[in-house]
Amino acid sequence: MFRLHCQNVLIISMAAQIMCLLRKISFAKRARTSLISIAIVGIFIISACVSEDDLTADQRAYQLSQQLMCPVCDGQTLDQSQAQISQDMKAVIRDKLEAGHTNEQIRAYFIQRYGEAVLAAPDSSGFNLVAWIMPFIIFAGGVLIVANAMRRMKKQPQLAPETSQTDIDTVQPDKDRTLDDGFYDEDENLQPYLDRVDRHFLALTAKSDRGQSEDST
Amino acid sequence: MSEVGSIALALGICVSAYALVGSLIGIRSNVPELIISSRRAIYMSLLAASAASLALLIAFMTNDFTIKYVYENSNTVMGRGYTLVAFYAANEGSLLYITLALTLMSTLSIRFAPQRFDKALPYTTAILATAICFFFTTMLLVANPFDLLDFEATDGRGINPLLLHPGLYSHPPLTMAGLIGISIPFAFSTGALISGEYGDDWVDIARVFAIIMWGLLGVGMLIGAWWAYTILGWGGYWGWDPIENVALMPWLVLTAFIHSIMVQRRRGMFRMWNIVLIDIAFVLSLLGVSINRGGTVVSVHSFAESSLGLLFLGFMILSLVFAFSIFLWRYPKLQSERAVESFLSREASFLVNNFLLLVVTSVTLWGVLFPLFSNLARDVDVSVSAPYFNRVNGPVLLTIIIIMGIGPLLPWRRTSARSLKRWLIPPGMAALAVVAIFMLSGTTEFWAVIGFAAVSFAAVAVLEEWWLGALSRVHNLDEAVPVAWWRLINGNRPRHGGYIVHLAVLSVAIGVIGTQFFDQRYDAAIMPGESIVIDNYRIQFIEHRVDDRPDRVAQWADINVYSINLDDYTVERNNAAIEGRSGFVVNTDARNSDRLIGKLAPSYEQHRNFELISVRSGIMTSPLEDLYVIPRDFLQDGRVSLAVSINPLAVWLWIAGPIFILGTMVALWPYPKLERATYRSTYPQPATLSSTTTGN
Repeated sequence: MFRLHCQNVLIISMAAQIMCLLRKISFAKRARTSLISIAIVGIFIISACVSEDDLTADQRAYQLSQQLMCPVCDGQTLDQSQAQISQDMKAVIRDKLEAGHTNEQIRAYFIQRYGEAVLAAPDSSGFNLVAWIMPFIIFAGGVLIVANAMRRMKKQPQLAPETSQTDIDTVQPDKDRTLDDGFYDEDENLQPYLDRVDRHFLALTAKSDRGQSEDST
Repeated sequence: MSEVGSIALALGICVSAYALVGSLIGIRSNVPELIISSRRAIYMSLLAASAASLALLIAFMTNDFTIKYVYENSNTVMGRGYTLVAFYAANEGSLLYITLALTLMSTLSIRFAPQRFDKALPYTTAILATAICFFFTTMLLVANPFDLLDFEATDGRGINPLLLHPGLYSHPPLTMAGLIGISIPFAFSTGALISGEYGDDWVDIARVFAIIMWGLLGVGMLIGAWWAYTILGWGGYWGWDPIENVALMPWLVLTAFIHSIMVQRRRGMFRMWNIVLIDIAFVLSLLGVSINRGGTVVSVHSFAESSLGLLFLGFMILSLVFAFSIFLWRYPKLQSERAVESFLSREASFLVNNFLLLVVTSVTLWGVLFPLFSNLARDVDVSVSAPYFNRVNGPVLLTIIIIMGIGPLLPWRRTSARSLKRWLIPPGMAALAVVAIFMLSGTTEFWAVIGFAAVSFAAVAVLEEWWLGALSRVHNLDEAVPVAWWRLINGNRPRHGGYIVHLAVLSVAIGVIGTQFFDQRYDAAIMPGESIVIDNYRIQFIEHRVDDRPDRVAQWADINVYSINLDDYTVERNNAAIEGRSGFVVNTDARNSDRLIGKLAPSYEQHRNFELISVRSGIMTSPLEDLYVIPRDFLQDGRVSLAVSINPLAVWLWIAGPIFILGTMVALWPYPKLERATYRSTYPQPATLSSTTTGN
């Protein structure tokens, strides 16, 4: 449970960081956003922390049976499996819970008997930590790539300058949500006409360019 | 029939090899006739694949047990209707089916490729011919469905009983066709790249085929989940099994692709990115085919062991190298002529959507491969199953749903934060309302509440789009609301079809959250007459029925389901609570207020030839929850061991299916020719643009 939340703290604060990076927000603001996001997630953790004691024996047994694999079936957990051995293992879980064992002890018991593959998800220690860390590396790598791409694209000269910022700002969204979403999404119904204009324009420029490039070659 | 089939396969190799060589020579030495004839050779390969398939079908119909594949997958008692399922029940047949699907789609796509794509088409033909040739060769040399049996047999072994389910008519063929069909958009994009047609001509046709494959895969996976839910007897619908993951991964990448291809179409951006996406989807689909190639589950470990698996692995690696070397070769030419102008734009939201979808894909791939690494690195077997994937993918999927609520509200290019905030008010209010309702009802499952809030946020965003769009038509054109809405959707089918699909995805999300967070489960063994009580259901075991047949023993538990008044069972409930039980068994007669609400007859079949047990669960569905009963075992003393669970909101998983199909159809529905001519990609092509820049 706890690991789950730690992940989310990281993911959400990282997401906040990208937003800040992409929008070139000052450091102070960035720090504030991260703090807020961490605080929100902190509340999540506190409110969602369910300890083993809060669950009934049946609920704990069910949870454990979802975390352990049936040793003889192909990729099925105990609660899914139809095999006799799974029914026996579930009985063992019940007995051990009644004897007061913790979930950790029960997992350890089954690992000792059937090897690590009995866990439905690798534990987060030793080499298996790699399994859990990699998603973060993937996420962080992706963030870097996207941020980088955005920045590079912004640097590129605009070959086809379009309406200036002021046009957009002066437009009142509600007034402009006309018939066919005018400003809101480039006008679908006007598209054919815009196309025609584009084609004329292209034909003209292409003609003049061809003349130029012939000159230069 | 065996000879006919093998000859057809050999012919398939010949024509596809001819198509490959012919189109390459044709384009190099500029022989248009050769190019056209190799195009037709692809059509011929469809004929060869059809002939081979027909031969196999006839062999099945006539019970030709001299053929090993027929012997292994059919027998005389099998219902003839299941011949079609038997066709792809194992490796060899599914390869033949895959080849048939590939040749069919290649033929269609080449036949209907737009005229302006002519220059690049020979390369596309060559790429498709290579793939077709590979499959024909593999079949003839390594996994021939027409191999003869080396002994005499009077009857076959029969079809794998797990495959006897109506879902199996559609699940494997849809999934396999969807996977292999990703070759089509890949061939078109790569063909365009090789030929130096850097324009967006490939975009339209690649988009159409990408959406078709994406739809096939999506529906295939849903039907697979339904099959698992009703017959596999493990009580679930999705297990993050390797075989499921390899279908999911290309689907996710295709999802990213069909979003970002719209950016290329509308804004001429993301050119490189789209090619990367389709390359990744293609390579993942080959991974999928190689793991999926058999009818039954193949684990990650075994796929590198069989020679067929190695062959596929090799083909996959070659394709990977090929795809990305072509990409890197042409990389410098693929610049977008526009940049993302603002983070508050639809382009940017597509970028974020792509990023998140690829994160889920890579993490899933990592989870699939980790056991291999663990094995190589320290020789220890580990399992990576549902708990892992739920933890690492859950948060990202949740974020994707939230983005689904913001993206549609963002216009192309840019908007101001102020107007965005304004549009976010209704979805935001809906989300807050959901949170409030759940808080009041005392739910402790925090993530479930966040999940439902995200779902309602995204759903209201779509409804808001429709409402405001329709309203503006009502005001300006005096149309009635339904007419306005209909015309709005019709006005931009790709976009509104997409919104319908969003609703389908949200419906799946509702089902997933409900079943993941609120399921209840109680297992017990009861005598006839006794009942299991869980939540407010009483499940009474009435009778045990047995049907002994030569090929299987089928057993049923006849069950009556009662809805109960919880007050009648206070004593038992308190006892159960003290012992920590989720349910309890009662053997007394019914209380007065018990009301019979239905009968179930879950079955449990042992199949002699396969040493296999198949289970059909008893399911009682309502929009709020499924009562789900699995017979685990029939014991000697007359008791039946039942696993009873309550799966809240499960039905929404299946409701999503028709909505998904509808949305995909709307998005794909072609515009009439005249309209299409003007609808085509609006923006200047880079080819012309580059001439402008060099000219200066």
